[in-house]
Amino acid sequence: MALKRLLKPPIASRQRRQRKSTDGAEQMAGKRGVKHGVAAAPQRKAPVTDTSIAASPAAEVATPETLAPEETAVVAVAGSAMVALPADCRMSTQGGLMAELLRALDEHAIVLDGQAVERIDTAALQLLALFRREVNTRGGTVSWRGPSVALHEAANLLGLATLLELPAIAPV
Amino acid sequence: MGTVDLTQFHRTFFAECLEGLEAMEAALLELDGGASGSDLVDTIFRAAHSIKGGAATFGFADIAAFTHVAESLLSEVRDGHRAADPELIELMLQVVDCLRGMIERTRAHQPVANADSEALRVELLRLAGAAAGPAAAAVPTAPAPAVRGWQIRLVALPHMLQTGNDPLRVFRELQALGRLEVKQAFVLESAPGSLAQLDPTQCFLGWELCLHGAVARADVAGVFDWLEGDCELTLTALAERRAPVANAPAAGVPPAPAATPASKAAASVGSVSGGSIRVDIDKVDALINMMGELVITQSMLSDLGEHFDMTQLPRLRDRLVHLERNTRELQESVMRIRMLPIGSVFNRFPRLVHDLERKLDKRVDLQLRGEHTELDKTVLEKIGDPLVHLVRNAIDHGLETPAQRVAAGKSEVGTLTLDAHHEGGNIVVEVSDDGAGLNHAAIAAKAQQRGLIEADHDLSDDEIAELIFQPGFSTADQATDLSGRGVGMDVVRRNVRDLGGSVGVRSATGKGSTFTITLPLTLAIIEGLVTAVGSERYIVPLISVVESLRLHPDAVRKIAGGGEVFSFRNAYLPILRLHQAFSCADAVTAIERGIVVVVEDGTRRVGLLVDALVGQQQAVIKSLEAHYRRVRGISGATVLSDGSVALIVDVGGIVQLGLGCKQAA
Amino acid sequence: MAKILAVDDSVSMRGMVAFTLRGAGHEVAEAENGQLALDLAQTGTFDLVLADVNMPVMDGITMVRAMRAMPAYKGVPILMLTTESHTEKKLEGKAAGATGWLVKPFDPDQLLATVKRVLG
Repeated sequence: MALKRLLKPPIASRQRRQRKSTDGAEQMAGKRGVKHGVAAAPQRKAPVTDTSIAASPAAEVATPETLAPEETAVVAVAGSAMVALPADCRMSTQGGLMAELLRALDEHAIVLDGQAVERIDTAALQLLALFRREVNTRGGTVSWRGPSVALHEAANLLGLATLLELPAIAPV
Repeated sequence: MGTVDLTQFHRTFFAECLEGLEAMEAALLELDGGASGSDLVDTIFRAAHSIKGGAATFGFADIAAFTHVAESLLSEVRDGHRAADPELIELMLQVVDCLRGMIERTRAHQPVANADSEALRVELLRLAGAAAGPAAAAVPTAPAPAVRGWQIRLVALPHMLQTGNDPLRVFRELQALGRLEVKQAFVLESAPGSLAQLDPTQCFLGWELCLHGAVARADVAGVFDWLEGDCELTLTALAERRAPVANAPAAGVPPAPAATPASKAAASVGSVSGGSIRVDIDKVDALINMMGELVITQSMLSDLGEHFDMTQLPRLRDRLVHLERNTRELQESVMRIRMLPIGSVFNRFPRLVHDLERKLDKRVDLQLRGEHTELDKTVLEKIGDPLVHLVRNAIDHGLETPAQRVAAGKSEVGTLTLDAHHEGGNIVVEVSDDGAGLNHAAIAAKAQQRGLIEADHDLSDDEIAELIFQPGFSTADQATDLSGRGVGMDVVRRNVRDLGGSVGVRSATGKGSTFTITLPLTLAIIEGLVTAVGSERYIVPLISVVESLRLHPDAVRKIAGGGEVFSFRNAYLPILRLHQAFSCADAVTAIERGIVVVVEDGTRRVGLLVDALVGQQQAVIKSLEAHYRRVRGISGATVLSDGSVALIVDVGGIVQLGLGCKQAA
Repeated sequence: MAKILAVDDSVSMRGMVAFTLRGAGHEVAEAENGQLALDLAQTGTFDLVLADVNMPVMDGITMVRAMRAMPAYKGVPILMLTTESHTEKKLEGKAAGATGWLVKPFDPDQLLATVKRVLG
C-alpha cells in the first residue's frame, strides 16, 4: 500500500536536504513549475521524481523512486521545502501529511503544492490553516502552488481561504 | 428514484412478527413463573419494538399504533421505571394474542383493528398514564414572510469530525436553502498552540454564517440535526435581537396513535396454511447426495442393459438391490423434508396451560418431552387442535383443584405431560395427567342415561374408555366453555382418524389418565398388510393391525342377529367378513380356513376375515375420490408391485360397519 | 457506486434497505447484529454503515463505539436507525461516535435521500 512507500522518502529526503545548494533560497512562489525535476504542472498525476538541487539548475540528481499520486514528497530547495498534497487529501488518508508538515516546519519557506488535490475535507483544511499559522509565528512563509479547483472550492465554502492565504486566482 | 415495491417483504415480515410474538410470549411466561432477568425484559421489548418498526415501515398503521403503546410501557419496564407485575404481564399476553389476530387479519386483507384491539389499546394507554394525543410537535415551521435569513454561529466541539460529520457537507446543504455567506471562519482559542500537539482528527474551528433567504427555522435547524452534541449552535433570525438558542432541536414528531374506528371484523379468519416450509440445509444436502447415488445406479443399470445376457443376471440383481436401496433412501430423505419438529406445536401449550390455570383455579406443572420428534408438516398442522382439546380436557376434568389434591394426599400442583416419540413406523403423542382418572361411575351413569348401555351392565375399562369418545357425551353437569359441551372427544378421534391415526385412553382411578394418539409418519405413504380376498387384494394399514390369527371353528360364537364373535384378549370381538363387505367372489368363507386380522380404531376392535396374508409393503396412497368416487370402508387405492390395483381398507369405516349401528354416529 | 453495510436483526427491514439501495446502484452487505457487522467491517472498508439500535448479541451503539476504534472507520459515516419514540438513543448513538441517524419508519425514498446526503 501507499503507506509503506510514504515511509521511505523521508529518510532519503533528509539526506538530500543535507546537500543544500548555495544558490540561496529560491522562492517557489510560482505558478510556473520550477525546474527541479519535479513533475511540471501538466503532470499532476504523474509520479513525482524526487531530486535534489545541485549548484547548477540543470544538474539533477534523480532518484529511482517514484511515488504514487496520493503520497507526499518533500523536496529540498535551499532553505525551502515543498509539500505536495495528495489527490485524496482527506482525514482518513492523511497519515503522512501531518508528518510532512511537521518536518517542513523547520524550513523558512514552504511551498504547498495543491495542484493534485481532488478531494479534501475540513480536517485537512484545518491542518493546513494551523500549519500556516505556526509557520507565520516562527517567521517563515508559506506559499501556494496550484492549488486545485477542488481545494479552492472547499476552502471558500468553509471561509478558510483567507486563513490559508490562498491565491485569489485559480491555478494554472 | 420511483417508489420501491415493498410487498415482496410482507410475508417475511409477518413470519418475523409471529416468531417475535412467540419469543415475547415465552419470555412473558417465564417472567410470570418467577424468573427474573433483564434478558427476558430485553427480549420482550425488542420483539415489540421490531414489530412496531416493521409495521410502520411497511405501512401497517393499525399494528404500528397498537404496538407503539405497548412498546412504550415495555420501554419503561426496561429502563426500570415500571415493574413487570402480574397485571402488566397478563396485559402483555393479551397484547400478544391481539397482535396475532391483527396479523392474520392483515394477511387476509380484512380490517385490522377491531373492538377488542381498541379496548386493549385504551387499557394500555390508561396504564401508561398518557394522554392519547401526540407529544408536543417540534418547532412550528411556517416561515413568516418577514424572515430575511438567519445568522448562524457554529462552534465545533473537538470530537465533531470524528463522528463523520463534516461542516463542508453541512454548508453545502445550507447552500441549497438560500444564499450562504461565510462571514468569518476562525480558529478557536482551545486549539493547541503548536502543530505538534495537534490531533488532526479533532476540530478547533468556528464560523459565523449568514443564510439569506426566507427559510424556515426548522429547515435550517434540520441541516444541523446530526451535529447535535458535536457543536455549539446559535441560530438568530435576521433583524431580530440576538438571542441564543439551545442546540438544534431533535427532528421527528411522534405519530399520533391511529384512532381507528371499532369496526366489526369478520368472524373467525380462516387459517392460512403456509405455502412454504423451512428446511434444514442438512436435509437438502442429504437429498442431493441421494440423487447423486441414484444417478450412478441408473447409469450402471443402463450400462448393463446395453449388452445384457443371462450371464449378467447376478450383476443385474446386485444393481437392482442398489436401486432399491437408493430409492428407499431417497424416499426417506424427501419425506424428511416435509417433516418438522413437533416442538412448534408444543410451544403453544405453556401459554394455554397458563391461561387455563388462571381460569380454572388449578395449578399445573407442564412437562414437554420429545419436542424434537419430527412429523410431516400437514400432520403437524392438524394435530394441534386435537392436542389442545386433550390438554383442556385433562386440566378441566382430569386434574383436581389444589384443595382436592391435597385432600387426596397428592401435591398441590398437578402434572401434565406431553410426550412425543417415534415407535415403529409411527409417531406416538401422549397426553398424561396425574389427576383423578376417568370417573367410571359417572361415565356409566351417563351412558345408561343415554341408553347407550343397559342398566347394571358391568363396564370394562375398555368400554368406559370407548364411551367417552361418543359424540355428545359429557359427564359435566354444565358445559364449561372449555370442554364438556360434548363436542370434544369424538371430534378429536375423527380428526386423528382423518390423519390416518388413532387415539386411545388408559386410566387409573385416582391416579390419572393417559391419552395416546398414534399417527403415521406421513399421510401419503402407509405401511400396509397385503391380504387376499378372493382374487382381490386389500391392504390393511399396519398402524391399525393388532394381530393376525387363524381361528379354530370352536372359537367362534354366533350371536343373535346373525353376527359372529370370537374371544380375543378377554373381550369378544365381532368378525367382519371382508368378502361379504366387498362382495368378493371366490373367497374363503370358512373362518377356520382364512385368517382373521384384528384391527383397531381407537379402542374399538374388529376381526377382519381374509383369505390369506400375502405380504407387507409400503403403499403410496392414491385417492379413490379423485378418480372414481368415495366408497365407504375404503380409504384409497394403490398399485402393487405386480402392477395390479389394491384397495386400502379404511379401518375406522370398516370397524363401524362391523359393529353395526348400535353405537355411534 | 458506494459500498454500504446494513445492520439490522429484522430480515424484512434489512431486505428492504438492501433492495432499495441496490436498486440505486450501491453495493450492500448485510449483518444481523453488531458483532457480525464488525467482522464484516474488517474484511473491507465500507463507505457508509446503517445500523439498527436494538439487536441481539451486540447492539448498534456498542457496535458504533467499537467501529470508531478501528482506524479505517474513523471518518466513515455511520447512521443509526432509530425510532421517534426513543430520541435519547440518537444522542447515545452520537456520543458513541455515530454520524447521525435515520428515523424509523422511513420509506425507500427517504432512505435514498439520506444516503445521498451523506455520501455527497
